Amino acid sequence: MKNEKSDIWADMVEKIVDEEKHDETGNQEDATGLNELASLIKNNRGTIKMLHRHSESKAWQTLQPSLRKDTNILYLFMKYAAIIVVTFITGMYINNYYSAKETDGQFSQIDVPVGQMSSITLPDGTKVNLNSGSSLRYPAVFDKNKREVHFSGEAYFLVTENSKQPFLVHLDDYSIKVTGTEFNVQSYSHLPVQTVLVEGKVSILDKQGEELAKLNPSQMIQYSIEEKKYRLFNVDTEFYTLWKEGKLYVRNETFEEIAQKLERWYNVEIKYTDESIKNKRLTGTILKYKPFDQIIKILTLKETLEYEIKIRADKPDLVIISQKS
Amino acid sequence: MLSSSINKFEKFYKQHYKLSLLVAFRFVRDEAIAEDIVQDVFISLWQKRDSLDFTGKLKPYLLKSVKNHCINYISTQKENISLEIIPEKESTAEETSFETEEKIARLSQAIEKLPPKCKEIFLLVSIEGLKYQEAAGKLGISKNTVKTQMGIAFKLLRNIF
Repeated sequence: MKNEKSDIWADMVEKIVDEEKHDETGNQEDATGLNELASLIKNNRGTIKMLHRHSESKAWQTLQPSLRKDTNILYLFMKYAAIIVVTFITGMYINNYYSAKETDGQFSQIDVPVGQMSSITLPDGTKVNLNSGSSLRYPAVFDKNKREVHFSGEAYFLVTENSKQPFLVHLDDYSIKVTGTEFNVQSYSHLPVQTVLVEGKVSILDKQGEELAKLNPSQMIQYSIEEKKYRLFNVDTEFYTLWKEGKLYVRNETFEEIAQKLERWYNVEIKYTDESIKNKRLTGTILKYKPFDQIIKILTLKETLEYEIKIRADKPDLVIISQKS
Repeated sequence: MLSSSINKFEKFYKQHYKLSLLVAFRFVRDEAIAEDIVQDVFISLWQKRDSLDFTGKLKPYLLKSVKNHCINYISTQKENISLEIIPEKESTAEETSFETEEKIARLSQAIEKLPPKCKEIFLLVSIEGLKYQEAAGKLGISKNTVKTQMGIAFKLLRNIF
């Protein structure tokens, strides 16, 4: 009989294996199974412990609300903004019910407030995922020769195929003409306008309807309003479109650029006690399911900064970033 | 119609949640990020549900998607971590093996199925790392009981292989 003074892991396994060996019904296979089990646990104890903190039932409960909605409206941060505002000028096109009178020049507009995201389906089945601060104007009934919408902000379009009725997205500076395709367009003022093609074909038209460029999948066109020039790039499309899955990839961007994005999503105003903070560069992923204060905490922690949030009644909250003393 | 799809999805989700979490954790090494990525992947799957089949080959697709999300996440962190840790972007048909993760997931499920007292003891000793005496003291039972229960646990658990 072994001395049972110590109860450490190896001892215990050895004991059980020993017992198995001496057991009439035990065999070599069983001993191997036990050793394998013991070593699996020993080598992955931390991971097993971590896993034990999670429960699929609880995780399912957290997930469920995101699934039950018919359109996948993602509420980023309840506290900051109202529900999506959709202004119908006239028309009840949603139920595909309208009289001849209502189809005459009737438009709908969807404005996504800062700090929200939304997605809608247009009358032709085209799906549009709209990012924070975006605006889309579309008719109750599309023109028979073309489907036209007006847009500003950032959105991901999944356009239904119809070469006889090309889909046109009018931005402030240019228009995008598509036939069945997937693309992402970012057109906020003060930023170069960019369109990324995921799948299909698009033509970029200038304001006079002349073709500026044709895009192939994985290409991006970037238009600089000041220089009045456009450039074509090959890009990793997922990088530009993952925002609709609630993430933003940030690549070597200045703190100021990131702050501007945060200001848009979370409807806050960010100020700095020290101008040099603006120019700090960061790379990372911002996960948008997190509340604002968690995000700003991570960002400032990385860069040895401090932050202070001042809640303001009728204005966006003020966030002050300063150097860690 | 929605209720039956969501039921199927729920079943699929619960069946593969922990495995997905393990796979994500293997790449990102951060519990919270792994959790977020897994939720994102499942939401994404749900949105694509009309073009997917929830039986058959969905599991490898799921794990691949988790891996891809992780790689994307990691590649934006590359300024902060050493390059060796970044997995190669998958361009070939070569499938990553998640054998260890599968085993741990099975183990975890098997632990959940242990009789309550046995499970409690097993977790204290194997996972928390308490010695027999310490576990016995904490639960107000004898050291022998702990030892016996550990033996039972082991015998029940080794069937996962």
